[in-house]
Amino acid sequence: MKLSGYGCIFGMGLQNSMVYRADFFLSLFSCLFPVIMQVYLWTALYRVGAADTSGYTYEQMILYTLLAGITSRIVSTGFELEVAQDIKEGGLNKYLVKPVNYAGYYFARFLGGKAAPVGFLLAVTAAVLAGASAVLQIRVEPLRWVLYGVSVILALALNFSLFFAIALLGFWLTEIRQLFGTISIVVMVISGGVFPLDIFGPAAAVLSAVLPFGYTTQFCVNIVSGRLGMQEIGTGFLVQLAWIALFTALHTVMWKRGTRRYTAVGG
Amino acid sequence: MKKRMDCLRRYLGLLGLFARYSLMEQMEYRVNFAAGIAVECGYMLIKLMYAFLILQAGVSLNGLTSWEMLMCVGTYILITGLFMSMYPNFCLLSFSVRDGSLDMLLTKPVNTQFLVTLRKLDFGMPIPNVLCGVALIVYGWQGAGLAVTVTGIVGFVLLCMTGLFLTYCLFLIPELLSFWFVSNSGVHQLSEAVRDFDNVPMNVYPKWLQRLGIFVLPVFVITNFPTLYVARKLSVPMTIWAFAAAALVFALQRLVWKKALRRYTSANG
Repeated sequence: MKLSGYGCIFGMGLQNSMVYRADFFLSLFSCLFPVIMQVYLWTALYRVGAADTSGYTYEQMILYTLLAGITSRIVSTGFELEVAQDIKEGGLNKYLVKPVNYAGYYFARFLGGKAAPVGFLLAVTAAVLAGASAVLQIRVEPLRWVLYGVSVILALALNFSLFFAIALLGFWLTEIRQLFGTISIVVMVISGGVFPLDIFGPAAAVLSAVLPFGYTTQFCVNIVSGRLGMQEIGTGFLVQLAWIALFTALHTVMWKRGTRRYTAVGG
Repeated sequence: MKKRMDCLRRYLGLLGLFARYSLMEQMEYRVNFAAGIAVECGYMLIKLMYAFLILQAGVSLNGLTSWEMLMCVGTYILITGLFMSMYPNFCLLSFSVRDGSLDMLLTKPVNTQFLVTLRKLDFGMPIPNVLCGVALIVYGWQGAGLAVTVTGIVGFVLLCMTGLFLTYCLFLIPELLSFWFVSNSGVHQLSEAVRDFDNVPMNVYPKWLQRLGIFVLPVFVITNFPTLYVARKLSVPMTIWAFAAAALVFALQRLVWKKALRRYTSANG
């Protein structure tokens, strides 16, 4: 399929995300609540000097809390249920007979669905950070913002390839929809979407550096918070690219083997 | 009085039947049952992270020791677990309104709200929460050195039950918006986010937010009051308020329920 075709799919994803606008804004608004809760928790703990956070200063932790909530929302997926349903109920047939790459189709739709929320969230982020910078006297170099943007784009691609591979498990497991709930929550936690993992001890810090999950949220946020030096950021980008390549290769193989097994039940 | 007792017995019997049929249905799909437990374990992981941070800090915050705060988190996990047993009905409500399947339930000679909100009881999701919640409460109770007395235990259990009832009434109201709007998933997410404010004890929040969470939207009453009662930090007026808040929210919820049913158009039914 030509690139313009994927452009249309992108547009479709964008339109879909804006069908229920009140829902759209309410769900985005609701992601502020855990951030507020954590800001108060950290403020209370730091005030009495009881926060054991492996070297995070109060300002860094607040910045992390503000950005992690938004970043994990930006990179979150949600298409895996549809993919599993396509496989289980035969909806995949219509894609198999069309000149379209299934992964490409979902990636274009995923990006389209993300465009509006990301635009809105970036505006919210800018406003929140402007306020936080004034209150907490935080100064972030403009270069770090650019690098944060690059890391988020790579994190989007990494999360897509990771969850697409998980969704393709539907070829082998009939009923895995409930499993997605567990996986997405666990991934959100171990990617540092709730708290930075390195505050839970050296073992957690090593795991977040070795596994791919930390590179979808924690790595991106720590670029801005100043926890990472330029060399570590460069290495992080390379690791992100390596994981993207690995998961893309994995879902390509899974797709090839899976379509051979596919029986088009109910199609 | 006898009539009321008969009515109560009838409804308790029905609840028992709902529980039996729900369990039979869930045992038919055991993988789903296990998956439900796994999902809840995932959510519990997040709640335990808060508990870990509070315990690791090991200090008193605005009048509550870290052990007492651990009890608050445990109470939240326990009540959430118990609430999860009826939660599938809350999620199904908007579908029933949208596809008209509420019609059949309206024709039954039973209180419609009872039938709609309690007919499916989940047994998988509460298991990890109840086990973990009780363990944290016992651990916190012991660590705080609070006396184990009959009045303490009875008061704690009674306030937990009030909290569960309050949770049911308070979080049913947003779901009832499905009678007015086609999609209410945004409101659903928002109400879940509000419920999650109980992930940490209310003493962490500033006074204005505490007052808001006690008197306006009484989410803090649900999980903080049982521990405060046991720690003898809950005044008598506040104890009375816990029950009054439950009664008031119940009255409000019934009012919204009746208005919502009048809006029902039986679309697609």
